[in-house]
Amino acid sequence: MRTISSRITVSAVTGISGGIYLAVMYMQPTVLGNIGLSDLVMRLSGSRAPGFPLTPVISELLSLTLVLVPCYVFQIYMGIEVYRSFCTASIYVFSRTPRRIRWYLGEITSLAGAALLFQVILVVSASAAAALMHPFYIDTAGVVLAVYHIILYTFWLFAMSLIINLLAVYLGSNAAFFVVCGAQLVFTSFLIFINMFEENRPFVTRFLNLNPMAHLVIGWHSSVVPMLDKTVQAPYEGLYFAVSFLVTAGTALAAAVAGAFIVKHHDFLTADPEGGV
Amino acid sequence: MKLIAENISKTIRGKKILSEISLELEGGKIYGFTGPNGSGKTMLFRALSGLMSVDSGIIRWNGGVLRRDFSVLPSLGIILENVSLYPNLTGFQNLKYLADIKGKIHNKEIREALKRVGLDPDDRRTYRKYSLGMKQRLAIAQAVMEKPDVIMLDEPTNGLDDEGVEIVRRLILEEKERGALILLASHNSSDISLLTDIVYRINNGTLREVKGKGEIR
Repeated sequence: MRTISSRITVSAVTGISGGIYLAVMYMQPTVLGNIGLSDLVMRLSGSRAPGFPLTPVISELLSLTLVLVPCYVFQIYMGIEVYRSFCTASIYVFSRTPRRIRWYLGEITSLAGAALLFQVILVVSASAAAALMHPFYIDTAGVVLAVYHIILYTFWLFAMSLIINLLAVYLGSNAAFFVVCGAQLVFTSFLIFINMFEENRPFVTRFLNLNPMAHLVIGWHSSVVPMLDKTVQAPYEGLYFAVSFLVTAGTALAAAVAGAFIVKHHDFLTADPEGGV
Repeated sequence: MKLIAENISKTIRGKKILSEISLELEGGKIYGFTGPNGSGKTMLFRALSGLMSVDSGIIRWNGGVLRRDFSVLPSLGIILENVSLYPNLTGFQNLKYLADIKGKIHNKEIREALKRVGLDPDDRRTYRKYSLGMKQRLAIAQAVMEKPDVIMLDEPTNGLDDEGVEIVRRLILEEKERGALILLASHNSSDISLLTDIVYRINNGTLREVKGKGEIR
């Protein structure tokens, strides 16, 4: 009840405005004069056009960062939102109930729902805006890729937003934003090594799987489904959707478990660096 | 009703926040705690309530041991400085959410608590639009609405106008008459002199009695 409606509102507003922003800035039609859903989804993670996946050079990595701006906005808002809720609950809720984990599970469920809603609205809004501007068609591969995109990005957004909140308990919200968003930008910049060592295929495969930001680039994924593999035409080998699902879901789960420990260990909450003694 | 602290100590980041503090507190009395900023008053409240663990010592409530028999005091109302309620909810909604945790009181009691502190239960403004004085009144309302056995008030008259101060002082005395055990931390010397039965001064985590007949070991 409490803050769920505000989270829904923020997710919807950010999703709609983010989707429109991305459609206007990045969804130009192909040489055929139209744009398909599969192409749109890949452009949401940096691809330039069908057959032109994200190339890990500085200019395109910068472009990828700008494409992810709506997601960073979501992380920043939800990082503050949940942290504030923690601060309030650490006194007013936990003085009334020892069931802190139960309260925490409610909070992270709400956060996960907000992340999912945001991603769905973002993709739908971008599609709608693109359809208004250019001839737009929905292909089967595009539907599957859209679902994959939503799943991957939901896990990622949930994990990053929660980690910002957890770090804020120790460092304060400003430092927490800096650390988490900064880390993502650093890993994004490291993608340039793929271009530098492109001839070393084993290195590229290993690097793709180890760099968390690589798992968000739909256009770099291979698939066991021939239709998707043919549509995506990944330029590098070895990065599979299944692995990326595991990585992002695993990160989300690890963050959730860490948060449960922190909430249970209430001294950390009461030693809030922004709340004073 | 007795709240007893035996040699409790707490160190945070190398600094001794509480140093072998012992207290014996009874229901139906108001205990004042004074001291400079950062002296440990708020931390003492956190420790006595169970919201913060202590490194050594024992805290007992009516024969039970805090953190062993229960994780927080079973019947507690608390306000701490600089901790806000939910900004997107109205005053009533905030109290309703908190009251639903234990389910001891319902809308009627919540409305009465709001009226006791001079707030309108039907005010549709959200907490974020409240003035500082309104926020303080709401915090006090949440502390007393369930008629807890122990009430801990950290600077309760901060930000209140004269009328608000009078309302809160009257409310605190009514709670004392009800039999609640009240701990009051305040820089306001009038609050301390008018309301308290026993006063302790805390400085650098150590405690000494400055007024009244409190037990101190």
